[in-house]
Order: sequence, then C-alpha cells, then structure tokens
Amino acid sequence: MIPPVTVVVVAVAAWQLIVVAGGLPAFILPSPANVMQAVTETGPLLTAAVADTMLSTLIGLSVAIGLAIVVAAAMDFVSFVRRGLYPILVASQTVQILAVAPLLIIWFGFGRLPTVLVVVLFTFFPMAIATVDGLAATDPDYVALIQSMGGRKGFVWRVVRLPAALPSFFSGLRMAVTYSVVAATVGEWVGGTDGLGLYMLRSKNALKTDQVFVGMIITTAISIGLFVIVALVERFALAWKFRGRPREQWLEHGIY
Amino acid sequence: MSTPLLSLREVSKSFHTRELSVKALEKISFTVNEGEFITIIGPSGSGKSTLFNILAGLLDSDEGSVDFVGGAAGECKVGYMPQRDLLLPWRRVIDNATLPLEAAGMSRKGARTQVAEHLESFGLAEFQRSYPAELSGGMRQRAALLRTVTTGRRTLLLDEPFGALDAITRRHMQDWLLTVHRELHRTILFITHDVDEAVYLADRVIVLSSRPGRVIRELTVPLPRPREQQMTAEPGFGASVATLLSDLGLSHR
Repeated sequence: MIPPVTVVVVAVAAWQLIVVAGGLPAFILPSPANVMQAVTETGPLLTAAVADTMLSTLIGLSVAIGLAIVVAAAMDFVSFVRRGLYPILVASQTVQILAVAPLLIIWFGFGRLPTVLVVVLFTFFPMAIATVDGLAATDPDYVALIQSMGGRKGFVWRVVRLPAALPSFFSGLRMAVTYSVVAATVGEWVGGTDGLGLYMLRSKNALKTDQVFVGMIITTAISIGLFVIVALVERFALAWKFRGRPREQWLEHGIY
Repeated sequence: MSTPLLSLREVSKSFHTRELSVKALEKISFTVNEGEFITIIGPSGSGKSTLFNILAGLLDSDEGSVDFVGGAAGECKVGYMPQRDLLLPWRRVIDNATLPLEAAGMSRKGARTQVAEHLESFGLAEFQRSYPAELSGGMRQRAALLRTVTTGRRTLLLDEPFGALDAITRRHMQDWLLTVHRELHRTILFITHDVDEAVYLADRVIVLSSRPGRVIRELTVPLPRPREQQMTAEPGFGASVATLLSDLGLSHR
C-alpha cells in the first residue's frame, strides 16, 4: 500500500505547488486546497447528489445483473439464440454512449429512468458476454462424469455449469461496476434532474472548476469503492479459488 | 469366489470421421469374476479407455455383447474413475465424494453421513473440508476413488489412476488400493501402462494388442494374497513381468 500512497501524496503536493507558483487562476486549475474548500462549501448539495447518483447506479446495476444472467442462460440453452445474439452483443459494446443518452431522454423524458437505462445498457454487455463465455467453457469431462453417475440436466447445471461460470461472471461484474458510476453521471449530465452529473454540469457552466474536480474525485472514489466490494464478495463466493493453493508437502502426514 | 459377474463377447468398436475410420477394439472377449482384481495393459491406442467407456455405458459397442450377471448391461452397473481425477474444484473433498449419492437424489446431509464412515480408511478424514487444489496428487486420487466407491456399484473401473504419481507414492497407493479391495469386496478393473504395477495388483492381467485392440493374453498371476512389495523380487513375479514384456514387443530374444 505504501508505494501508491506515496505517489498520490507527491502528485497532490506537486499539483498544489504548480498552481501556487504558476499563479494560475482557479477557474483554469484549482489547487487541492480550493477543491477541499469546495467540498465543505457545497456539502449538503453534494451529499444529496452522491446519494442520488448511487441510487441510480445500484438500481441500474441490479437490473443489469439479473438481465445478464437470464440472457446468458437463454443463450447457453438455445443455440439459435446464442448464435444470433452473440455478435450483436459484442458489437453493441462499441455504441457511442453520448449518442444513446440523449435518445433515451427523448424517449423516456427527464428524470431517473433514462439515467438508470444508461447504466443498464453499459453494464449489461460485459456481464452477459463474460457469463456466456464462462458457461461455454465448462469442461465437458465434468459433465460426462456427472452423467455417468446418473445426474440429470438440472443437477449438472447446479453442480457443474453454474459454479464453473462463476469466475467469468465475476470478472464481467468487476468490469461492469467500474463503468456503472461513469454511465450514471453521463445520464445525469445529459438529462438528469439530480445527481453528480448535474452537479458537475452546473459547476462547469458557472466556471466553478474546483467543483468539477470534486465531482470527478467523488465519482472515482465511488467506482473504486464498488470495485472493492465486488472483489470482497468474489473472495467469499469463490473461496475455493483463493484458498486453493497447494499446501507444502511436508505439512501433510506421511508421504502422500 | 469364481462367480462370473461380467462377461464380454466379441466386442468390437470403430470410430469414423469423414476421411478415415479407426478400428479401436476387435472381438474382445473375457469374463470377470466376482471380487476379482483385473489389470488391463496394452500400448497406447489399444482401446483401453474405449473399452471402459463401453463398460460404463458412455459408448455403445458396434458388435458383440456386454453382460452383467443379474441384469442387463448399462450405465448403472459400474463406478467409473476416469484418467483425470475430475474432482470439482469448487467442492470440498467430502462434497466431491457425495456427488454420486446426490446425483441419485439423496440430500447432501444424508449423503455426507453415508460417506463419513469411509473417510478414515481412505486417509481423508482431516482433509474432508479441503478443496481439491489444496491436496497433493496421491490425496486427490484417494478422493476420486472414494467418489467412485460411493457410487455403491460392485464393479469399479479405474483408468490409470496412479499414472501421474511419483514412484514411491505410487507403491504406497498400490498397497492401499489392495487393502480397499480386500475390505470393500468390490470387483476392480484397472488400466495401467506399467507392467510391474499390472502384475503386482492383479489376479489376472489382460494384455491388449496395439490398434485394433485384441486380447492377446490372459495371465494369471502366481502370487498369493495379501501382496507385499517384497514379492516383486520373487521368481514368479519376474517370470510374469517377462511374459508381459515380450507380449508388448519389448523383448528382443
């Protein structure tokens, strides 16, 4: 932990120094001290904005997770669905978020709904793709073994396929949560009535550059926080993967 | 002791792709008696694993018949331990061992109780809560064998279970397997590439030729039971090994 913390501290110090020594006006580059001040000044407004953005993010993420699992399962069960949807899913990840967001406003009006939809759209794909890939990569020998024991399709799913796909699902989820907060703020920026996106937009329009920085830093912090939460859940859910390091031979009794 | 349990009559199997067809097994016939330990040896490509897949009901033979005494042939007659141990990495040792019972519809709790009594004799008691990746090669094989025994079937098919183990661990595992065989009264068919192992473990060794696999010898091992590693120095053991080596084309006399 010490090296990254050192780098951040040095960078912030350098930033402060450049602003003070260079005599830059605050609306071009605020100093870290300006930014801290902006946090205290806009405190209540900021708290409400953070709460709002987080709510939209979490609703969007939850919907996307459910949708991704259902779509992945359907693609795995029905080969036609799989072959039809897979290339479209991959291609859709390249669609321009800044073009889609205004369209959603036009269709669904201002408010939370378009913001949530932006989050869903941009977190659903990485999770769906990762889960489908994980399901498809299940070792067929495991499946044959369970079948030789007389296990039926549902049992094979529960015991082999779902657990085998879980690591892929989590890598998709990790990617999705890092997108999610940015997606929510973009939605709010374009057509929200609340939230960090709007906070940043208004600050920008008022040339309150220090507040734009506050918005950026908080967005990043939330993203990192969500990432850490997912990583912790993953460690718990995939205990077998993280615990699964071979013990030293000499720790075992006998020579086996 | 010599009640027939399983007999194969002229079992043949070919595999076809678009361009070529390969004859894997040709007119394989032999009988297995209740409680016998049979090893099957042959060069790579002699169809040993194909034979096991047929016995396990995962493949159908082209010709010939497989008869289990007391019922029709099929998947429910044998416990199959494939070449790779195939322990599910996300299940603890005990939960891997209970899989066959759970697949048959038993609750996890009931299955655990039933498996628990074997953990001690399989040397897995203290590892039951471990994940497979935490185990050494020998322990993994024990866990896979416990899972195979849990199927409750009278005949066990073991496809080269000790192939990946070091020489000393392997000898310990052989002795341990013989103990399991004696105590659990199961019939065992055991594939190996190792001539010494084939003779040491078996009541009878079945030698397959290279492709297509045919039975070229059934050798009864002239050693008493229980076996001990020192017996590998006895003349009867040496003579059997020599016979097998020449069957496998490894003698230049």
